[in-house]
Amino acid sequence: MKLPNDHILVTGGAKGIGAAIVLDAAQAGARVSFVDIDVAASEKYLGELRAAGHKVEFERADVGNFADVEQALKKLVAKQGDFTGVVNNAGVGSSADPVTMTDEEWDVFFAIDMKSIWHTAKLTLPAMRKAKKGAIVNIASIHGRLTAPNYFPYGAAKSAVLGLTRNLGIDEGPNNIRCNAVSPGYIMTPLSEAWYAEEEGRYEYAISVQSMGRVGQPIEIAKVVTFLLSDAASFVNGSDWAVDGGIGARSV
Amino acid sequence: MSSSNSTNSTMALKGHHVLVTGGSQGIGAAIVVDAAAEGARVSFFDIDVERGEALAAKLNSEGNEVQFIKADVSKFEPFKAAFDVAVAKFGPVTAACSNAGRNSYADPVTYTDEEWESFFALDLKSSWYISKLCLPEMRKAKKGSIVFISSIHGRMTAPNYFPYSAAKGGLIGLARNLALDEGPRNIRTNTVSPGYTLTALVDSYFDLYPDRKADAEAVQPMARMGQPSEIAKVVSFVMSDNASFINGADLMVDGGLHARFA
Repeated sequence: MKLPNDHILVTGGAKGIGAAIVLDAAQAGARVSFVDIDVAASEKYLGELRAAGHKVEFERADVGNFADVEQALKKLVAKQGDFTGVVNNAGVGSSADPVTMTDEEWDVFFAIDMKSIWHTAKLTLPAMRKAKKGAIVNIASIHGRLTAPNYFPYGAAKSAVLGLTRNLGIDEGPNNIRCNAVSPGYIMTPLSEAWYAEEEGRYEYAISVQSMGRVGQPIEIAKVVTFLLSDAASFVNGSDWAVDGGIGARSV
Repeated sequence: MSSSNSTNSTMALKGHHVLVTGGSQGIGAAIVVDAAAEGARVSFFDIDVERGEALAAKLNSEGNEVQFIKADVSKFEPFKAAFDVAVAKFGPVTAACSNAGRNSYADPVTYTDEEWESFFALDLKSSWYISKLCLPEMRKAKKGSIVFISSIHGRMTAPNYFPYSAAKGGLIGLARNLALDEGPRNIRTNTVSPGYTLTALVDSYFDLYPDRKADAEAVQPMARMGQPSEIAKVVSFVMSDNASFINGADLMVDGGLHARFA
């Protein structure tokens, strides 16, 4: 049991990488609470997890909306106690044209992919500071360091996540609260599967640039997240751990 | 050396033969201890025979399968001779950690060619050697994990370390090349980069520059330095199947120091 006394919050926990993180943390012994905007998928998943004997709770929340998150977290803390770990996983992609993108679109995108990390910190740090212990893991992306054409302004949001990770790591370190980022490369999720299917040859291209000859599975991200949440990672702080099969080491 | 908490063992390295260079003390010894606690057979090489034999004897008396072999890994022939002995006893190496290394505080003007060659032979070239020795069987098995212990100096450095940063930066580049070239065979290569870790090597540094110990502690974001076991836990993780998609990465384990410039 790597997370025997923990209560872990996972945002965007209904599907894909988030769902794998919820399951792996629960299997590591943690109480897990997750938020998501997809209520139907969340409730179905909640049922499966409980049937398997896991202590899991769900509340609907749009991480782009502070009041939403505040309400959800209040309920989840009331049910399962203070959070000892937070995984900021919720996010959306972006492939905007910098000319036609509207101010509102920009704000909504950054509220979800960047500001939500501040918001969960704002809500969960007080209890972690009191406990003098905590772990925050932000799911950034390979786009935090590198990017690809037509992702504007995804690279900016994910780079900002790495900056937030460093600031929180340094400022909360004295309170024994560690903050790290995990940066996935190509991972097979419902979202990425749809993206691969959008254009012929996309999936084949993704495979062709992967040195390991395959894309990653959500569980391969979740295992790293669980490790970083656990005491085994007690001196890992302010870091960005790439989990991308090596694609981040490649220039052409 | 800080002992690992074997009660937290998940046996994540069961069935593995782990090779560690520089395993007699410090971070290397902690890596040997943790890999054994995670269920691996462990072979480790070092030039320090006394500490090496004592560590192997202690771990074997506790029911682990560990062997120490004396070898200077900065020279290929003795490295290969030790490797052959290790493999003859425990079988092909499935996970390797190149940890052996030393510090350097040279003056670029007075530094000699011989000193340069000797330093890089240990801190950089021995990581090629461990790969050269381990890859043939890993390629056959279509599986393997290689970990180089780099340093925070691989990305940034501090005054009076010439040319330590070049060697440690070189390891990160070496890991990237191996990651891309061996990835198709399911062999993962990564670096783990410690910051200030309380080992004999770091103590020797603080003996040389006592005023820097207080400075070092003052800049630590977690208000302390790391323990060797905290590096070892990450190495065991990267070697295990739990890290099956981590390849070509540099995993910082420095309490957050690299995130800070002032």
